[in-house]
Amino acid sequence: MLVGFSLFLASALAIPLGILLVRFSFLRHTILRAGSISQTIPSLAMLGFLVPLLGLGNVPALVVLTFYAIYPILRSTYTGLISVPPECIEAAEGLGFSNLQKLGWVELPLALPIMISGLRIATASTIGIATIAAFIGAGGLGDFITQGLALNNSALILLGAIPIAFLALAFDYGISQLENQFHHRKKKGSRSPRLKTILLGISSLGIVFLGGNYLYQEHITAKGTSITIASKNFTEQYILAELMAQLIEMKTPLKVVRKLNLGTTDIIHQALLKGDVDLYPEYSGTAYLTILKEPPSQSGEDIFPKVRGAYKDKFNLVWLKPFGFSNSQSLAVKKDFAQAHNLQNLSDLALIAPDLTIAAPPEFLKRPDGMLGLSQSYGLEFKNVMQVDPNLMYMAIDHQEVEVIAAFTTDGKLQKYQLIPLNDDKKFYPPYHCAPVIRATILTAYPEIYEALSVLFGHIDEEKMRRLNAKVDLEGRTPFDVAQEFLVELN
Amino acid sequence: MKNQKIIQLINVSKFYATEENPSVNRISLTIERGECLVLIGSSGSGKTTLLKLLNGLEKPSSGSILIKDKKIETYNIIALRRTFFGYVFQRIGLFPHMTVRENIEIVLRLNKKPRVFRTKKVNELLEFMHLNPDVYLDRYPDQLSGGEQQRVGVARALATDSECLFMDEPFGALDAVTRYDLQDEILRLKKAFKKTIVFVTHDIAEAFKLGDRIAVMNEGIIEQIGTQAEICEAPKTPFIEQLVHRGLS
Repeated sequence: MLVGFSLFLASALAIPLGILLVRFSFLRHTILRAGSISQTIPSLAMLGFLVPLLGLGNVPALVVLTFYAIYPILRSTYTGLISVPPECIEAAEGLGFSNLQKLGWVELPLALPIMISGLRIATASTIGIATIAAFIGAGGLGDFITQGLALNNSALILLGAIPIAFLALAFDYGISQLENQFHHRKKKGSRSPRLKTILLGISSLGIVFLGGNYLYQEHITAKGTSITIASKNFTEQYILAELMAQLIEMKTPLKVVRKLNLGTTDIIHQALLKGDVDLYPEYSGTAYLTILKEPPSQSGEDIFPKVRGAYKDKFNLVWLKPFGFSNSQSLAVKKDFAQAHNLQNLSDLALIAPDLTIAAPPEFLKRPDGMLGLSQSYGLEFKNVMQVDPNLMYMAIDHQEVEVIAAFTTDGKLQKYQLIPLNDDKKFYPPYHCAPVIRATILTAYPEIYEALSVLFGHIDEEKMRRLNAKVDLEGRTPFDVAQEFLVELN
Repeated sequence: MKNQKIIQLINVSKFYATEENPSVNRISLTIERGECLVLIGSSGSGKTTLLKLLNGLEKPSSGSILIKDKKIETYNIIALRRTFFGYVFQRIGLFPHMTVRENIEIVLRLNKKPRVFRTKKVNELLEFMHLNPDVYLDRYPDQLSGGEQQRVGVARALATDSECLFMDEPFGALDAVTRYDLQDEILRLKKAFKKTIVFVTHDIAEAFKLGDRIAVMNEGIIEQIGTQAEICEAPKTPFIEQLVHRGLS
């Protein structure tokens, strides 16, 4: 429905603009060119850019979807209008149509088939982009896909992908029906009432949906006793967020809103500062390098106290006590590959790296504590670097398309795919102690949260975390179940 | 009735920015109520421009146009087009997304005439143009022959009962037989409705058949204006002499 409403909004903007472009030539080329450039901006980048301004959820998603739908509609409106036969315009003027009447009776009806083809293109691309909106917590079917990818669960991916395909088909069918209204000649009088019904239907559905959603959100926040827990989009984060969510639900009267699956560190951090998210699990090293933008220390000293202090001062965010494990990043290779080339440390890898291809998620490639810093520190130069989704990375190395991947030391999948992480012998990475990060105002208001979570502090070591990860990644259990089971075990 | 001036042009010129010579060059002309004035000339002689000046689609660069002794600028030009002038176009210009009925009644709809009135009018006009309403009412323009389309075009121009009818080479694209039939319709229509007609053509035979007076245009000026007899017997210029004897090639 987000799709429907954004198409509606985009049409409301683009069609009048298209009409103005035909009437007034002076901005025509600038605007059409700007429009076509806008299509080349990656939609995920656009989403990331909007989160600090608009927060999470439906609003930024709506803005992005509308943004991408405008150009096809604008372009087709313009093209449709300039391709109206000149003799029809001449006739309309000669017969005494006013400008508005000429537009409404002659130009728009004749341009409509082309305008509708533009709408179809906009619809298809909007449905595609809407799945990405899951990254900023707008939910929808895209949630299934991103979670399915994160949990390595193809059933979940299909659960999202198949309805989306049907949705796209349904939308396309709906629009082609709309198109037929104009192509096939109707008996007198039947055309406009039907068109009106359809348009009315579309817009009222949009309004009902939006209204409903708004009320729902109101309902949640109105209670004033809800707390929003977020996670990044990988297994360990889901489990930790679930653990915290279930503990809070069990031991406090607070309601928990789960915004799992929220893209990158930056997106969550911005959401936290805006107050859209209250609590999430973070790693000291990531915070140190990505958020605080400190240079890699290489000393191996514990940066946790430093990070905690800086977060309190700069952001008014509190680091609670660590869970007890450190999920460090490293590079991993196949076990037999390591044996064959006698690899143990990252220094060993540097020697043969020029013949190898590495696959890593985009975030890893760009972060100072990722590829950039590592290659400086160890002199790593790969033959080829592939930027892939974290979860496709394992497929890539399993099918021997790449030899090296970026990996987390607690990752359950290491075991499944017979991988070993290489040792960070130069101590490039600071320790990645994982702990809950919470907004200070929330902690003050609900100190019982600390109490509720305290059973986790220091009770999940690397071994346990890897086991929990494996249960989800290898055994196909849900993070919810695994978390529940672990809590029972703890008690 | 005779000699009543309905439209007057005084020293009217029209320059286009893109062209060196004026399209219409200091033309003075009086059109009388109930006459059929034919403008004839080769392409680019300025006859279509003259017609557009009369209907307000173009504004004169200099000179003035009087409609019933009042300057054209004093009228609401859009209202004038809807009530005072009917227009038949060279390229017909029927709206392809509207039926024959909708095409004919469109200006009546713009004028907010009631439905009953419109239906009656459309039926009368189709009958008058020898198109059976039962057959043609709900057809679309692309389901009609060229001749039928222009019959609808004429019916559309007649719908408002306007005093004047402007016709811009309306039969230029039609075959000889169809054209002949439609010329007869124009004569009949003139008799039936007492309309003032300004008719543009480049066919001298058509001009002689339809015109009470014929104005021969060449390079933006009217070289001679008069009845068929006056023009045939005393052509003022070699161009007119050639036109009378050989037609326009």
